[in-house]
Amino acid sequence: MEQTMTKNQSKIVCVSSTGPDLGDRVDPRFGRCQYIAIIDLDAASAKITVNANLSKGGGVGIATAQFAVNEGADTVVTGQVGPKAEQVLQTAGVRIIAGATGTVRDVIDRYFNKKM
Amino acid sequence: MKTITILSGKGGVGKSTIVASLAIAISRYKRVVAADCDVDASNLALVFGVRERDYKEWRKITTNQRPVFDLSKCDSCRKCFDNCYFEAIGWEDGISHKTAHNASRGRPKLLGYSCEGCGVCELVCPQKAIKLKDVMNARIGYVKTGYGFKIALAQLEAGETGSGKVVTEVRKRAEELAGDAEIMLLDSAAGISCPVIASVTGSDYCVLVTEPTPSGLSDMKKALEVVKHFNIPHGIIINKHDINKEGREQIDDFAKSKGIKIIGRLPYDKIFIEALVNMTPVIEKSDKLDALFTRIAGQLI
Amino acid sequence: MAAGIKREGGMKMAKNKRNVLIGVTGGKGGTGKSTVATALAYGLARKNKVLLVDADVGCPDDHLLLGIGRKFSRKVNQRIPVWDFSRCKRCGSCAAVCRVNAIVSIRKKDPMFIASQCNGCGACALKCPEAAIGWGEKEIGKIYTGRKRNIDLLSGELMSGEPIAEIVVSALNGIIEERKNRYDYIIIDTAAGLHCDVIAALKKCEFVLAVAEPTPLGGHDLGLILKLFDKMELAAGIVLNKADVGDKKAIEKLAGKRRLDILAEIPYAGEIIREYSRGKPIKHPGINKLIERLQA
Repeated sequence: MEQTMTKNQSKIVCVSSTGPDLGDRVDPRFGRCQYIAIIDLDAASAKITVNANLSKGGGVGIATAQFAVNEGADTVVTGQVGPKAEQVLQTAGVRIIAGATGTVRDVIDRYFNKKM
Repeated sequence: MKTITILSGKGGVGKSTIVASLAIAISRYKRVVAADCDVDASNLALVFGVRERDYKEWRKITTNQRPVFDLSKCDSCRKCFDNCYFEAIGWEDGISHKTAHNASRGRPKLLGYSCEGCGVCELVCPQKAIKLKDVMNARIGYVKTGYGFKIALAQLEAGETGSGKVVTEVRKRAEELAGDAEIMLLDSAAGISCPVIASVTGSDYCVLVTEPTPSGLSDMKKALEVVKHFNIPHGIIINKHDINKEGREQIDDFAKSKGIKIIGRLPYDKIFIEALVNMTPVIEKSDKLDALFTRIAGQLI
Repeated sequence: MAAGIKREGGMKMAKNKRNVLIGVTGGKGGTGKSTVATALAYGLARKNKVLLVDADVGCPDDHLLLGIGRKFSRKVNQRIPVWDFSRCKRCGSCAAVCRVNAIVSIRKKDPMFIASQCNGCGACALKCPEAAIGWGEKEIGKIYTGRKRNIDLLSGELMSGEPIAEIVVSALNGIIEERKNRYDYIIIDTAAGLHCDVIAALKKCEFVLAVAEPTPLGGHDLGLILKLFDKMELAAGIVLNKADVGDKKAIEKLAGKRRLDILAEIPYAGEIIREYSRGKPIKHPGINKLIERLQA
């Protein structure tokens, strides 16, 4: 479900990652991703942290979505978002780009024309 | 890596037996890792004949929190007792204890089994006498089967709750152990409540195991509701399919009406229970069953 | 039935009282809990008033095993918070204090509530500085009743997707408390496993039957459940199901260690399986023996 974005629409992007570096591959699952990358497009900075929500029994997707919302993300880039996380992101008005593949750096370039 | 969850609703239909032999069949074509998500009664490793002494790397984990009461601060106001929605705090009357207020109006008593770790008691206590602390309620380990793949497993401490969260930890451990595995098999618990939900969520495919008995079909329907709730592709295996013709037809009719594929039919055979007793996966004991499991595997990978 | 003492050939368990609560559990799924519970209820009902409680609320089966048509009795509700958004200042405290991810706080928007996650604990309502949270309900299950011969059936059913089975079991316990004086025996058939719903079902039992099978898996799981009985200080006995399939010794050893009796043995016979698959309660001499020993 790709969406075309113009450069100027997005400021803070959340990408699900399999590792702590921009060169790591996008994690195909949003809620249960290993790492969460928060990229500030204007400042060209990235903060990648371990997903601490994984040990919560239920509602992992919700917790990860809450994290993205708390960080001020306006867009999420990932492989697949589960129904509960999707509900949260939609209510919060966060755009979802699903089906994304490649590294974190790749997707930031591809969708936002930003080279990190 | 593709995650496949095997569930049934009903206990004892043969999930672990089937997971074991299926894992072996699949491992001939793809690299496999398994997780025993029946954390209350973890016995997938036993089906492979791995004894408890060969379980590896036990790590204690904590997924629960419980209140700890500092009775020296307690003034017996009973707010914790009154506010606990899960009736996990009882009240012992008339037992005097050392308090600053010298009250002998009784004290709270934690009924750990019922505690959900919600923290309400800590919130309401005006004396700040209650603090939620981590509880080491389970241990996670793994075994190496004799077939080149590993099984992550866990054991809850007896009487401890929170099996859903422990299942999540077992899945995590399986992912750590997976290496370059292409297929992860999850053997889920019986029933449909939180440990099963934790096994189904985020899975790529669900295998529903049933048997042609009234409860087999009824329980499979409940398990199916959970699978559909999460929108996961699924198929059915009918175990002991030949013990009851009517029962089998009912399952076939049901599957047809819902457009669900029957991906395998296993016969009732004493060899299944002999294999269990001898702690050898049944696929080793019969060429006919080997072919059946291989055919099922082909539809999953 | 006149209230008071019922004596019949030396019922030690019911010496000066009626409404004896017997739990039937087993840890591992498929050991034959429901088979034993229904057969026991069926056997006892010949001369006693029996209430059979199906506390396997995730997958209730007893009505199927006894061929009882269930009748809807009432809903089981769990409380959930309801926001008065006119008072809400969007401070996010409710989301911060919720430990089950049922509340999401979104900047400049009202908090978002996800009912399926909520366990009703009340932390949000207690924490809210504006007292903006009150109570509503969500349905999480149903209670059914039924009757056949001399057995009354009480069946609880959890809605799929709801995680907390224990609340439905507690509702059953409440009904047992209301009605127990009408019965000589109350049999509680629990779910598989050792979760809080099984514990809730066993809490009030005076005696518990652990149904076990003589296989390595059966022995392993029996060991775990006996540990639970110890912790809960429950009086118990063992029923050996599928008794002829494997090595009884492991079970006998466990029983001996904890000084528990093996009260009955039921074989894994073809006819029993076929009858079971047709939805008929089993009538095996092992069950009669069990009844004798419970009443001895």
